[in-house]
Order: sequence, then C-alpha cells, then structure tokens
Amino acid sequence: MSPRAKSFKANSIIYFEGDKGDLIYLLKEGKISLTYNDVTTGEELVDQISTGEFFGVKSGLIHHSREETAKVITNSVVFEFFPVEFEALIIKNPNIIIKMLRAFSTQLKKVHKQIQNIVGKNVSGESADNFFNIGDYYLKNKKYKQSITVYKRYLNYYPDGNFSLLAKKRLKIAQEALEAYGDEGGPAPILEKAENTSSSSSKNDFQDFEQPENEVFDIPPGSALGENEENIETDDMDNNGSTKESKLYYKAVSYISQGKYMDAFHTLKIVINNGNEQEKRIANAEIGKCLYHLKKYNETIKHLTNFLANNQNYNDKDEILYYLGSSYSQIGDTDKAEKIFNNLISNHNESDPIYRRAQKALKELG
Amino acid sequence: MALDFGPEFFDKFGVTFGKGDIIFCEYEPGNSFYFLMEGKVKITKILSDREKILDILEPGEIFGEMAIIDEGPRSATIVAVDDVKALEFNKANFEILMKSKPELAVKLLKIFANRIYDQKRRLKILTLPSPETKIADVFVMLAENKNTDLTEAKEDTFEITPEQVANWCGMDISKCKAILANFVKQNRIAIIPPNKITVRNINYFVRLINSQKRSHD
Repeated sequence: MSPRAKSFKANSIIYFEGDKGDLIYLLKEGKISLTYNDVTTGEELVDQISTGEFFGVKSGLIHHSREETAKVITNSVVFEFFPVEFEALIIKNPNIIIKMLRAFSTQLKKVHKQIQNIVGKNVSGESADNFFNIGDYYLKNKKYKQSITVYKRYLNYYPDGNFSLLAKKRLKIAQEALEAYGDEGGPAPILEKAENTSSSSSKNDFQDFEQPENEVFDIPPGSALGENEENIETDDMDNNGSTKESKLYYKAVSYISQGKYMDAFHTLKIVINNGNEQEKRIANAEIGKCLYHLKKYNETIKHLTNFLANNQNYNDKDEILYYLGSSYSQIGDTDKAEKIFNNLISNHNESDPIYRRAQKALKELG
Repeated sequence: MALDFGPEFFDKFGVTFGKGDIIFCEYEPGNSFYFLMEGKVKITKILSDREKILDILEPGEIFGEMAIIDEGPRSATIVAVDDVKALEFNKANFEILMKSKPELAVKLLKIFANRIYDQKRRLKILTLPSPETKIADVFVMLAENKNTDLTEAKEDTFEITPEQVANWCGMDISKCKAILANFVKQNRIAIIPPNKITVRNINYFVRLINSQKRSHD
C-alpha cells in the first residue's frame, strides 16, 4: 500500500462537514480551503491549505466526522492516505508528530479557555476544598490508606488551606483506625459536619464547623499553623514531586486566567526569587504577559527582549514574540511590530493558530 | 501496543505503586503524566457521594496526559489495581520521550484528537441559548455517542446523574434539578436513581434545540 495521488477539479469538494473521516490528505499542488463555523460565534471561517500540508488529520486519525468542508479552489493534486499509511509515515518522522501534537494541544487549550470563559473559572481555592472532601469520602468509607494519602497531600499543598486544621485531625482518625482495624475494617468513622461542605460553600459554612469544635487547641504547635514557615521551606517537595514554587506558579496562572494580573505578577515574583531554573523561566515568561495586560508596554518590551536573549530555545517562544510584537504595536512602533509578526507568519503555516493571530495583529497595524 | 522501553528508561523515569495506592487524586494539582508498564490502574471519580469507576487501564496506556497542556487540578483519580510500574514524565522531558517513542506520540495524538472533539461538543452545549436546550443537548450528545438515530421518536436510557448533567451544562445543580423536574412533569424524561435517566423521545429534544437555535439566530 502506498498513498495515491488524486486530481480534483476546481470547485469540487473533497469532503463535506459531517462526513465520516476515513482518509487523510496531503496537498501536493493547487489550492484547497477548509470552511467551518466557529462554535461560539457561528461565524464562517476559512483556512487555506498550503502545498505540502496535511489536512483531515484529526478526524481521519480517529474516524470522527469531519468538522469542516474541504473545497477545491483551483485544480489540485492531493495524496490520499489511509490512516494506517499515515501512521506508518509519521512514525518515521517524529518531528511531524511533535508539530501536530503542538497544534492539537493549542486547539485543546483554546477550547478549554472558551469553556472556562462560559462556566466561570475553577478557582484554585475551590479545588483545594474539593480535594479535601475526597479525603473525607475515603475516610467515611473506611478506605483509611487512601484517605491518609489525600490528607497528607492536602496538607502538603495547602499548609494554610481552609481545611488544614481539620485535615490534621482527620489524618489522625484515619491513622488510628488503620492501626486498630486494618484497611476497610472497624466501624465507619463518624466525622463532624465538615463533610457536608460542598464545593460551593462559602467561608460562612467553614466558620460554622470550625469554631465550636475547639480544634485549634488539639493541634500540636507548629503543625499546620502559621509558625511553621521553616517547615514549608525545608520540606518543599511533596509526594508528587512538585515544589511549593510550582504550586505558586499554578496559582499565578489561575490569577491570569481570572484577569487578576497584579496578583499574578506578585505571585510570580516569589517564584522567580525562590524557584529553580525551570520554574524561574516559566514564571519570567508569564510575568511578561502580566506586564502587557497591565498595559506596561515599555516594561514588557524590556522584560521580554531580555527573556528571549537568555532563553533562545524556550518552548513557547512564539507566544513571547507575539506579546513582544503586540507591545511594540501598542507604543506605536509599527516597524518593529510588523517585523515580528511577519517573522511569526513566515515561520508557521496557515493552520497554526499563532499564524492567524499574527496575521490578525498585522492587519490591525494598518 | 508493543512498546519496549529499555531499562535505562525505567532507571530514569520509573515509579512504582502498591495495590490500592492513589497515584493522583481528583482536584489534586499536578504536572506529570504516566505511561503504564505493568499492572492495571482504575480511573475513578466521586459523583453524588459514590466512587464511580470510569475506566480501567492496561499496560501500554497513558494517563494524566492533560498535564502536558494545562497545569490545572486533575479531573479524576487514578488508583493502582495491582502493583504498578509506570514511567513518569513532565513537560520538560516530554519531547525526548516523543522522539524516542513515536508510537507513543501517535497514541497521544489520538487521545488529543478525541478530547478536542469532546470538548468542542461540550462548548456547543454551553453556547445554546436557554438552560432547557442545554440540558436537552446533553442527552442528544449522549445519544450521538451511542450512534442512536436521532430522527426517530425513540426512547433511550442513559447512565448519567443530575449532577453530571449540571456539570456538562456548566449549570448550578439546583437549577438543573428544577429543569429536570419540569421535564419529568411533562413526561419528557424519567429519573431513575441512582444514576440513570430515561428520555422518552430523543427526537423531541433535537427539535427543541433546533427551534430555539433558529429563533435565536
């Protein structure tokens, strides 16, 4: 089996939206466009396929229905691959796969962002509370070992979390039960009110069950209270191997997604001061974006130029360049902005989102 | 998939877990993903105060792969069913792995392709104009996944809880329950505790969505 060259006349259709994807194509010569509607706006969008570019990949790989219509603009020749042939080809060319993985993850990120914009942000504090509740679920069901894991990790990630005092106490209950009865043995532990706290509960619920229990006095000094700063510093690797800084970084990213750029900025500063090289690098990149959103364009330019000089092989270099270009555009240095956007365009093909973003930015320069 | 990782891979990236160990937990922050070498793991989620097994993975499978894209909290729990040997990777060593194991990269490509379609489908639900149509579209989506003929007036039962419906629509659970109760009153659906919902006529929901889409446009 080998891929077959096929000719298509202008104005013919290679596949329609909704067709089951059973072939993958490579444009050899001619002009082909993909037409689809944006899910959120319904707007009709058109992507041009460049020669040498694959199309129909995502649907073809998993036999999903096509989400776009492939229309032939001028007489064209395409190579047609069965999915197995395509797989055999890319396995020999891992760089193609990596490029596609990047494109797919960019798409996925975009959809996630769109979803988040609609359903509201999953605030990290809320996840922390939910995480604690999972420990409670296991404890109630006498899965002591699993509840111990969850409480321990909870305390590791959130030493000052809403439930850190309670987690300490629960951990003790679980450990004692495990010792006394073995995993899944003994009577189901009776837990105080806290397990009813749903993710949507507010601080008020939290006060309700925390105050009357006098729990504060049960806790050994320095365990989950404020004075254990050194504890956190020395014990900064948790079970999963992520550091305090990477948690802070995550928190900052969450701030960014909520538009709280100032909070993100300050959090990232801490990461830069205390993190390892990798953490510093990603935090520095994000700080540049914060500066941009805070409308400090000159600072953004200074920061990102510096960043690029020191991190020439940075993964998300294109994103950084995009922000740099946008900053130049904001301060009216259209020459520099144009140069950067043109560069991005010439280094990517039309299907890359960065290509479209750069193209759009370029248009806006006028 | 036969993927033989040499011992040098395990020395570098290997991790082991005992039976019953939580590898990672729903809502836990995390930035690593795993390739399962030996033993099985189960994917679970706690829904309506019950632990539900979503899937069981065998050697050769990948889990936690969303960490490559987003460093958000985990969306499900992974528990070792047997003694487990796995390789643990992160963003930093991801590319090395993909270049040396392109078969794995292809697998990941397919996982992402599936996920993109799933999430786009969810986005479609979320952009519908009214809460009623959003809920209706969750059932239409479930029917699509079962390859049901949507043009027929057909009764169909789905394994889903009101909480899960609310989650798909990004809706407050009490609001979702109120609308579902209303559908029950109109005899459009029946809720079968603990985790099933029967739709009397899936085609009715399709038409409901289309009519509102039109009036919205």
